[in-house]
Amino acid sequence: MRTEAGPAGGAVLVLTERLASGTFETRLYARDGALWEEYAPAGTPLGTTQASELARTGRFDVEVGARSVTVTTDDGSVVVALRSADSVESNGGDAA
Amino acid sequence: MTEHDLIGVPGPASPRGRGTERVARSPLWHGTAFFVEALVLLAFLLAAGALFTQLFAAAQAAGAEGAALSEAVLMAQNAAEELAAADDPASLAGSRPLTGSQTGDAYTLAVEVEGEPHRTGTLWHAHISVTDDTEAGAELYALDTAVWRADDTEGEVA
Repeated sequence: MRTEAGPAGGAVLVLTERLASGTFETRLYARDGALWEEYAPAGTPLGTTQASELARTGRFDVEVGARSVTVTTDDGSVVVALRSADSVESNGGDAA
Repeated sequence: MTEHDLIGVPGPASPRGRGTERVARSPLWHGTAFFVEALVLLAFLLAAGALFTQLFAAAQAAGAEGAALSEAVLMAQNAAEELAAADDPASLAGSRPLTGSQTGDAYTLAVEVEGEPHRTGTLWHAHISVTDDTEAGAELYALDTAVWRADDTEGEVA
């Protein structure tokens, strides 16, 4: 898991999935007043595949801690504890 | 003068006379019926208005209660996740005020933590409760969780 800079300066939460067939990413980001999710092969740029709109929100901040991730949207904040060891990739960081 | 008048025999009532009698009685009867009907209709409208007012008030109260419960569940869930991610679960014990992000209501989050020592670590039991400060401290939601912390290695969630 890591965070990147997304469209319009927002954060992109990237969840990496390593399979036998390759490495794929689930990307969550805000664009045009909505929260979008897209699933794409790792390394491909944002927006090249068809993304799905999850909900309407103008805010999507991701704060990555040592063992938890805090996601904030217009409706509030949610804390998610990271159960797996080494969940945060080396290039991850606070993108709030 | 007619022939009946001359011989003293009452003649048939004229159609005009009978019609005049009916016209004279009808307004009173119709007016009473209309008045009774209007009273019944007014009573029905008042009863329906009172019923719908109660229904709308109950629906609004249920909606507010549901919104408060949703916020309380989210706060308790966040506290449980913070506990699962904490290096020292005991440090999260205590109460703190919170504000609902949607309703703006005031809540109090209380976390009670109790450690159960074991040979290789500690099992921390936690009771998390959220009370509504605007409802005289009524408890909205509570949950129990536990987290394992080994003595010398990284902790794992029970």
